[in-house]
Amino acid sequence: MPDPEAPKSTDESPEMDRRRFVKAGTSSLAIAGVGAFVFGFRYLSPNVLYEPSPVISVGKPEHYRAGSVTLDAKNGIFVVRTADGFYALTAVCTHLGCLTVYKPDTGEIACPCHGSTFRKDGSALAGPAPRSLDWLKMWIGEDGNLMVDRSASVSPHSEYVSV
Amino acid sequence: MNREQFMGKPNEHLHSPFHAVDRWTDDFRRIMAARVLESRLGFRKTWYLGALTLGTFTIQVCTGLLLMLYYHPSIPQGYADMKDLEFVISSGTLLRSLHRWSAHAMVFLVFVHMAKVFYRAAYRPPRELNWVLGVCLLILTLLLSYTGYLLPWDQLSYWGTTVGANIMSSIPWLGPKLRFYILGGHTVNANALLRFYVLHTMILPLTVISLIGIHLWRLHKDGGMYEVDDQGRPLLHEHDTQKNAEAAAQLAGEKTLSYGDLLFREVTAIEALAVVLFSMGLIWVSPLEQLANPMHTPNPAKAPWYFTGLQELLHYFPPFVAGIILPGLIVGGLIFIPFSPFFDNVKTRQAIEWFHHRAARWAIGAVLIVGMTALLIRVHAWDALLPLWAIVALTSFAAGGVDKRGNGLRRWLQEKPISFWIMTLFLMEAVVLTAVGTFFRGPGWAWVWPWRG
Repeated sequence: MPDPEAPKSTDESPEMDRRRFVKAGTSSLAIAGVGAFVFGFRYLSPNVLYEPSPVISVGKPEHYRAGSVTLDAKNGIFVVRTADGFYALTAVCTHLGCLTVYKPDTGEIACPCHGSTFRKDGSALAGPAPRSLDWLKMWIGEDGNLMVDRSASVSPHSEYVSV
Repeated sequence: MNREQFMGKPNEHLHSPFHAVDRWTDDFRRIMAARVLESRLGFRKTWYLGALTLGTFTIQVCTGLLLMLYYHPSIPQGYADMKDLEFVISSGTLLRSLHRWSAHAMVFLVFVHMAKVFYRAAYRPPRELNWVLGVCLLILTLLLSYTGYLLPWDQLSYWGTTVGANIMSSIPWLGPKLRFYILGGHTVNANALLRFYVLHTMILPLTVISLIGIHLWRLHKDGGMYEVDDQGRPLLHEHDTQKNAEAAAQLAGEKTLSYGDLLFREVTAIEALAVVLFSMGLIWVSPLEQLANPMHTPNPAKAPWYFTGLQELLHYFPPFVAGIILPGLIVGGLIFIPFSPFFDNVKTRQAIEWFHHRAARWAIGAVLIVGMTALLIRVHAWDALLPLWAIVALTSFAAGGVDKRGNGLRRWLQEKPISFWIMTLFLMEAVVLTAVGTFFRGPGWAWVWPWRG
C-alpha cells in the first residue's frame, strides 16, 4: 500500500495526474459535444428542397370574370379581379395554415379549421386569425400570363394589376 | 432461512437448471417489489392503472412492429400501404384498428393514472422523481400519438400535422426555425413523413421504454404501493423493500404476499383490457380518409379526441398562447407539484391555512372570478366558463359556514388544499373542452348540436 501522505506522482507521470486527466477529458468531450450538436443541426437542415418554385403563372387575365374571387388550390392563392384591377392573396390561413375557401353567398373567405373569416381584400373579419391574408406580388409576364411570387408580400391596396 | 441455506453452498447449485435461472434473473426480478401488502393488491387501491398503461404500450410495440413490415414511409406509397392493410393483407385491418384503439386507451389511461396518483397524494417525497418521470411519459405518449397520426398520409393526417407544425412555428424567433428542422422543409412533405416515422418508431418508443424501466424500478425503491400515514408519507424506513414491507405490514397489522401475487393480478387485468381492445378493433374499424390533399382542407378538420380540447383553445386564443404558453404552464405546474407545500394535495398546515385566511380567500376569489371570467368572456369562451364557475360555486359553498353534522360534503370540501381545486379545475376544463370540441363543433368550428343531423 502506498502511503497516502506521499506525493501523488509516484506511479503516475507528472504530466498527467488525475485532476488534469479529468479536466482534459471533460473539455475534449465538451468540444466534441458542441461539434456534434452543430454538425447534427446542420445535417438536419436540408440544403436542397424539392419544393415547387414560389413564382407561378396563373394564366391569362381574360380567364377571370370581373368581380370574381378564384381559388388556385394547387398553389394556395386567390386571384381577385375587381374594378380597380387584379390582385393575389395567399389562401393559407394566417392562424394555423389551413387552406381557406371563398364563400360566394356571403362574399367572405372562410377557414374550415378554427372558423376565421376574411373580407375579399384579405382583411381579417372574425375568428382567431391574428393577421389579414397577405397580398402577394403580382405582375404580367412576357407571355401575357399573370405571374405571382408567393414568397413576396406587398402592402394591401398598394398594387393593382390592370390589363 | 438465509440464502445459503436455501440455495446450498456456493457453487453447489450452479449445475441445477432451476437455480441457474434463479441466479440469472435475480437482478431483473428486483425491478418489482419482493413483498407487497395484501390490502394494496385490491382493484380499488390503484385500479391497476400503471399496469394497464404498460399493457397498452406493450400492445403498441407488438402491433407497431407488425405494421412496420408492410408500411413504407413515402408518398404516396404510405397511403397505398394503408389501403393494402385494409383490403389485401390478412388481419391487416384488425392490426391497425388494435393499434389505434390501444393508442387511444394509452392516452386515456395515462391521464387517469396521473389524476389517481395526484388525488391519492402518491407523488409525495420520496416518490417525486417518479411523478416527474410520469409527467414526461405523459408528454411522450402525446408525442407518439401526434407523430403516428401523420403516417397513414390521409387528409386528417396531413392537416392535423400542418396545424401542429404551425403551432410550433408560433414561438417567437425560434418557432419557424424549429418547424423547418422538424419537418425537414417548409411544408409537410416527404421529409416530414420520414422524420415523423423515425420519431414514431425509433426515438420516442426507445425513450419511453427507458423511462418506463426507471419508473418501475423507482416504484418499488420508493416504497411502491405501501400504506401512507395521515401526512401522506409512505411508511418507509430505508431503501430496502423487504424491510419496508415488513415494517408496513407490522404497522398495518396484516400479512404480505410475494410479488408473484401482484404480477398475477396485473397480468390478468392487462389480459382483460387486451380482450376489450381486441373486441373494439373487430367492431369499430380504424377510419381512413382520402389521400392527403394539400389543395383541400376538410371542413371541419378535427383532431383526435385528446387534442380537440387544445383545438377548442386554439379557437379562442392565439396559437402561441393556446398551443405553447398554456400547455407549458400546465406541464410546469404538474412537474412542480411535489416540490411545493402550497401545491400539496395533503392536509398540511401550509396547504390548508390559505383557505381559512379571509384575505387570501378574497384575493384568490377575486382573481378567479373577475380575472378569468373577464378574459373568457372577452374571447367568448362560454364553455370554458362552466368549470370555472362550478369551482367558484363549490368553494363558496365550502367557505359558506360550518356544517352542523360536522362530516358532510361541506366539511370534506373545506379540508381540501388549494392544489385540489387547481387540479380539479384543470381536469374539468380538459373534460369540458374535449367534449365540446369533439361533439359540439361542426363546419367552420361553429357550434352544432350533435343530435341534429
